[in-house]
Amino acid sequence: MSSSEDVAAIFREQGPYAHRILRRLGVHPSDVDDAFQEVFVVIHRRLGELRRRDSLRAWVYGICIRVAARHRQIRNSSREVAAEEAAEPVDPTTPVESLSEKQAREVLHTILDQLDEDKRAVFVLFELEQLEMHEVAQSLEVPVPTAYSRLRAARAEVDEAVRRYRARKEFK
Amino acid sequence: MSRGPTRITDLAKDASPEDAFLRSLIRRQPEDLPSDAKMQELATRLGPIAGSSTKSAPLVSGWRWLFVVAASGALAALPIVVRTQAHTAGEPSSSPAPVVSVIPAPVVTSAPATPSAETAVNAVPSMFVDSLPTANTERVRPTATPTCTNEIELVDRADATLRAGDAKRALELTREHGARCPNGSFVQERERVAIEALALLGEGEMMRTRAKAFELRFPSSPHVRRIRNLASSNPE
Repeated sequence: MSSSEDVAAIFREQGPYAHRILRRLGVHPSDVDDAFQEVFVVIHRRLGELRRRDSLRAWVYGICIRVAARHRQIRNSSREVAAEEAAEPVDPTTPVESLSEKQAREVLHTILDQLDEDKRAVFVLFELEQLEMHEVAQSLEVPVPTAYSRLRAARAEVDEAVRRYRARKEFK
Repeated sequence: MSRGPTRITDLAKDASPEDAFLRSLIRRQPEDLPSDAKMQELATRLGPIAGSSTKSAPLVSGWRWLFVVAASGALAALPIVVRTQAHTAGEPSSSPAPVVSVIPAPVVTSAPATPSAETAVNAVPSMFVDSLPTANTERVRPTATPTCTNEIELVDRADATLRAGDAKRALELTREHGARCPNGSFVQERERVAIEALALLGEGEMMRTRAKAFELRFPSSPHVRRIRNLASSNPE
């Protein structure tokens, strides 16, 4: 099983994106590196399942989705809230254009935190990571029509979350 | 819907206020990709999994578990002569360095294996031996024992077996890992599996003892919380 070089290539090619998507999928910043390591352990183990080169990104993201779900679950069940978790308050009336990048990220993550895992995943993959819908479906291991319907539902929830966010005087 | 949905960032300007807000918000997102230094750090952490990408990794790992494992590995492996790193066998051996002779050590444990991580950390300068450049070094590099191959697979199998409900077998596999890779890179993961297996087997006392030892040895491990929860949900 001499797959080290393949894994190294995946690491170079997809590693940065895998790291980013883990955060976008709701893995706590202090857990992201652990989750990242787990992703690559799984990649190493499942490399034999990867056949078509053009599916690599979707395949890696699919692994990230499952690892992220597990990490979110663990953190939720531990019910520990570290001081670092407290988001920097952002006035919801601040125009988006005036937000710093960090604040923009926090606002987006707060909105995404209101979605369930499936909808968050499809939204992140399509809207943020710019995957095509067939890749989204492959990552989620669902038929393409299911991915479409999840995206519709996710957008509706995101719209609702945005309405709630903007209606708030104080954010968290 | 034959052409697929339009992304929010590509929506027309007269989209709903929510879409307009989201469009701006998404466009405002930082790239958020980890820096090269961060990727190097992650490569170091992954070690052999990331294969050749770890070759130029910095010597010192910032990661607590790797720090401890590397240090204790160096300490424990002192009396052992090792062949070239068995667990990096997948790497292309560009170095012409001759292979150092092997003594397939019949477990040279001069003392009972009671690894004291703290002592090891204090005693030995920490470095990830596999990250050392290979050029012109004929020294024997202390690293994991030669029998520690497929470490990831072994730990992963133990974990999968545990999740499949066979705690007894999972525990056996962790013992096998302990014997083959006493200073492996996945000691923490092994211990987590073993502790969970003991809990499932109703070995409360043993589980708590091991959980305590784990916390002492790896106080900042990402597994500590889980292990602590497990121990507290199985009180004496």
